[in-house]
Amino acid sequence: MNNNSIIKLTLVTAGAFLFNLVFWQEKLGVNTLLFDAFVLSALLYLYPKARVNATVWWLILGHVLCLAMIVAHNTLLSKFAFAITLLLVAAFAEYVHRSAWFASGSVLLNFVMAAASFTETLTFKRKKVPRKRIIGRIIRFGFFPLVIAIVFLSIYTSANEVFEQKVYWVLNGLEIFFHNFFYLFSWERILFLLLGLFITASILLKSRLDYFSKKETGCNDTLQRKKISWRKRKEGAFFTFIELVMGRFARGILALKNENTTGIISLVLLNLLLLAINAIDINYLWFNFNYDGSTPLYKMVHEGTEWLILSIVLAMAILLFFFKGNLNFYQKNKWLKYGATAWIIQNALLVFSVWLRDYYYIYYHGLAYKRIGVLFFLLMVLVGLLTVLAKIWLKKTNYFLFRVNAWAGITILVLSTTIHWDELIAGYNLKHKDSIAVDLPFLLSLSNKTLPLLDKNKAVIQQEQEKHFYRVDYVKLLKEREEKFLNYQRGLTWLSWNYADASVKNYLQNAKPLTITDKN
Amino acid sequence: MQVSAAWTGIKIWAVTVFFNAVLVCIGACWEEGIGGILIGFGGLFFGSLITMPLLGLIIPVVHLSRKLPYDTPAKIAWVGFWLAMIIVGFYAFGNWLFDGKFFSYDIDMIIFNSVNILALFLSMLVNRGSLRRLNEAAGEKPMSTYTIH
Repeated sequence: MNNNSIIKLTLVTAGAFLFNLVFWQEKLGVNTLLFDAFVLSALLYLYPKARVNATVWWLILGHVLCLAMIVAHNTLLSKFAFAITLLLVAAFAEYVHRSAWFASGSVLLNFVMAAASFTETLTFKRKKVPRKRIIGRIIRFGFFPLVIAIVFLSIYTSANEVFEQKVYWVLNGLEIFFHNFFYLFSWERILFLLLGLFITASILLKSRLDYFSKKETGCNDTLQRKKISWRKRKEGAFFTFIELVMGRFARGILALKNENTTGIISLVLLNLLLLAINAIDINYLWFNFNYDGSTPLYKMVHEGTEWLILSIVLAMAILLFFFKGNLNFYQKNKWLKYGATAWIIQNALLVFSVWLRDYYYIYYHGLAYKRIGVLFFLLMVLVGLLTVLAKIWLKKTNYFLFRVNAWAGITILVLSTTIHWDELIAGYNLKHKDSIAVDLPFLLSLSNKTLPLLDKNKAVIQQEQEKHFYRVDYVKLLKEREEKFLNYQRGLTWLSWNYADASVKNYLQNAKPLTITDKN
Repeated sequence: MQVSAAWTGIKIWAVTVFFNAVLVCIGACWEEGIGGILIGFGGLFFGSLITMPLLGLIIPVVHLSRKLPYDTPAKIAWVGFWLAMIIVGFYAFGNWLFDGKFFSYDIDMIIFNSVNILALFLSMLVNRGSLRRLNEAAGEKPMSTYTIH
């Protein structure tokens, strides 16, 4: 075993024990800080090149922000973003990558190969002398005599009562021993230790398979013109499809010109179609929107939004299809590029129309997860449209497109953790209770951080309950949730401490006598 | 003797089923007395019948291990780990079929699952030689040809 292997083995084992120690029967809180500090230090120690890698440091910055949000907000989103950024830090520290997609592939391979990578750190240099197969011998020579002995033991205990008592005395002793042993070291805890070992090994140990890293070395941001023989081109699926649509116009010297003409005609038609849609939206939605409550708004938003989002994604796919190959380098592609730009701008207007629909929905019906999700999705679509524009005018590759969009997605994910969405939703909906219908089942399903806010608005809950003839007593349900929260908190130690839970606990413990008085 | 991935996979499966039956037999004798032997035989018969489709997963795992750029002990550990995962997955699938969810806390099932993994562990120990020969036949590179990361 060389020095490097010993260090890796020590770090992985220490990480597994730390994982077991800080996360066993706890929730993510300050313990995450301890484990994360260890993992990040170990990564930077094991892979010194990562210390001078700017991408790693940017990722660490985002990761630390997510970590801070776990301690502050403790939301599911912050935990998810924390895990994603940690895995990306590991991938960028261990491999040479520029794209988050390829890095994700590499980290996935780390998980698949974790058992082999860990065993490798344990492997001693092979000696030339034949090894004594001690374990194999024990199994081969000892197994059958043991089985036969057990079978005959069963027979003799059935036949002889005194012998049976003696055997049961021994067996009882063994049972007590194992019971005490597993009381101290429970199965669950051992399995949890193995889980910790698997996670730590997957993060810290680089797999020998650097498939994705090698694949990425062949990818460029800028399109490069490659000469492909006519014969080879004909073999491709892309050509088969073009030939199917365009027939003989797809072949010969004018094939590229024909492709360009088809592209221009398609984009002119699509632009005209979208212009009509945008004109209607601008007239009715942007400037003359008048909601009288007679038509269900959800229909316009739900159905409209879904179709419009699909059309925008499809629009990007169509543009990628036209600008896939040689058309990027065709000298007379100016009008095709103008058509594509106009279509992208029109799609951006459509994004704004979808945003307006979502805004009206929120305005009349309050905040909800999906409504916020649509806003983030639209932001991503806008970034997507911008990168498609860059791809067309700056002759960029699809690799560039996916790479930039992935980084945009990660940035949005990290920034979105800074807001406690449940608290925002509950606060907004309760604040606008006079203009929107308060959805009590939804409000009561939000995370524990909203409990103080709901507790302060018990009167509103009571009022809404009576107004809408709900069968469930939501005030009682709220009280039950509060008690459940406090009971659960009693089972946790300082390792699970986080600001969100601490503030709720503090509020509920102080507010409890008041609520009892209220009840009376 | 020429060894193939399919033959090694079948051997690992057969020995695991056998060890599993023996361990079940020991457990049943402990609990039920002499009647446990019959349970052991039942385990051998039904175990091989139920788990036979798993050969469709076991053989590819063994086959894939030959292509990994690791030395033999690491490859053997990798095979063992993923076969254990197959066992866990098999239980999860069974649980989903009968209970509608992948995992449920049932102490008997956990013990039985652990017995299966123990049987697999013993089988891997017994079949180490076959796995080593399989990798040597695939032309394993010496350790020194790899770069140490």
